[in-house]
Amino acid sequence: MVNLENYEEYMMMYADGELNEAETKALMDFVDANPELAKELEAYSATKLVPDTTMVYANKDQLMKAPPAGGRTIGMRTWWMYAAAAAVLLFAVTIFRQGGDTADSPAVASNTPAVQQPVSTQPTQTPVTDNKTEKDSNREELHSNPVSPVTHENNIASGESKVESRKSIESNRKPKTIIEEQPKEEIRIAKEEKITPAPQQPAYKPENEPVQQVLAQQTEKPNKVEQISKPTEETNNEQPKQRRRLLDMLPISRNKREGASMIASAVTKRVENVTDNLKDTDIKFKIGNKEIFVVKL
Amino acid sequence: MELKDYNNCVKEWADALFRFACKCTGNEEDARDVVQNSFEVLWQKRENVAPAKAKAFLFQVAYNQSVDNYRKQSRMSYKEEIDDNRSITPGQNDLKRVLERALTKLDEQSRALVLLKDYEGYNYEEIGQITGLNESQVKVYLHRARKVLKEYLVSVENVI
Repeated sequence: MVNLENYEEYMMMYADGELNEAETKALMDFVDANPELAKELEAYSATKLVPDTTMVYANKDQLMKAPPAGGRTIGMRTWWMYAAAAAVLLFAVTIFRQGGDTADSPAVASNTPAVQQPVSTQPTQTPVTDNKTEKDSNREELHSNPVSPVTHENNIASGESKVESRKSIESNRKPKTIIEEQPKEEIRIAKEEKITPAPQQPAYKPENEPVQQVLAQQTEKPNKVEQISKPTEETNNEQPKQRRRLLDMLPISRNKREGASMIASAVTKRVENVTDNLKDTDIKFKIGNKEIFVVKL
Repeated sequence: MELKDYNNCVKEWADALFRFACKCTGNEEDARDVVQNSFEVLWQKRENVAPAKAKAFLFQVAYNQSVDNYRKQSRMSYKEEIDDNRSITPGQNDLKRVLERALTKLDEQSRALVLLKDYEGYNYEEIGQITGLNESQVKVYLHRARKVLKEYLVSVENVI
């Protein structure tokens, strides 16, 4: 292995620490066999440098980095994990909320008949129907030509593509407000939004039963609106509560209830001062920065 | 590599890097610059450097800077710098002093190779990765350096 031609290389590799055990033994045996080469091996071994450990870099703190102020440092790998977890959570919340909104639809449909029933048979169950006038003399009831469900249903079935809407008119303490139902009269709402179809409010019972009040929904197209109002002696404090309860019962999606409530309030305020027959009166009312005109055709 | 890994690298390798840079440049001030620049580069690229590879990365940067620094700048002789008594403790035999002087006889690349081999204990392959040379080249250059050092030691009277 080791010979006179390659012994020097072996010696340098020995000084480098690159020889294995067998190679080292072979080199030692060769040097033993050639004692004149021992000094050369010693010289190569002496060329190995030894570091001076007293030489140090002063003020190593200046090289170090401090953590960011006000928070802990998050490694990039960990940051990505947190970002992925946040994205998954946000996606799940979004799906959940969409499922919750769609769940309103069946409730809307299912609530519809329930709304009708109290009106037709037990109007007293509804908050609106519980209203009673203080003075019978001031109370004028809606008579005889109530809008029958059949009539309105026919209107619905007549092929109107427009979505039916309900409009609620709440009277205040003054029982003067009377709105007669006229099956032939059409009330068009200038500003409308599309709503889910809902059956017309059924007929009310005259005299003995308070008139059902329903809330109008915004529709995109002019719709036939049935107005039913009842003079009430409700206090101002009770009206908002009753309105909210009624709103909850109606098949209106949550995001549209506020708009429906605004319309109801605006109409209520506007018509309370109408002394003439409303069917002959053109009225307009404002909702926010928008105006709605109710005119006779 | 996170912050704590980086700071651990400073604690572990700053001194060794400084010694290497000192011997390569022959100038303590330049050596501090090399060390600072090397760690700054490591910090900039910390996301791409694993903690286990940080030492080799640092020495690679320091090698490139030390060799370029020595070549670009005309400074006072390396020999004068290397005679700093701080590097030789009192009572030490002449061997180490002669070796330090012999180191100045080498070119910058050979000197760096010897330092990487003897100071840090890298093998031929690792030195090749740091310096950009292949294993055979490292072996040849290193053996040439060894021979120069040996002959210098032998030539000095009463050393060997």
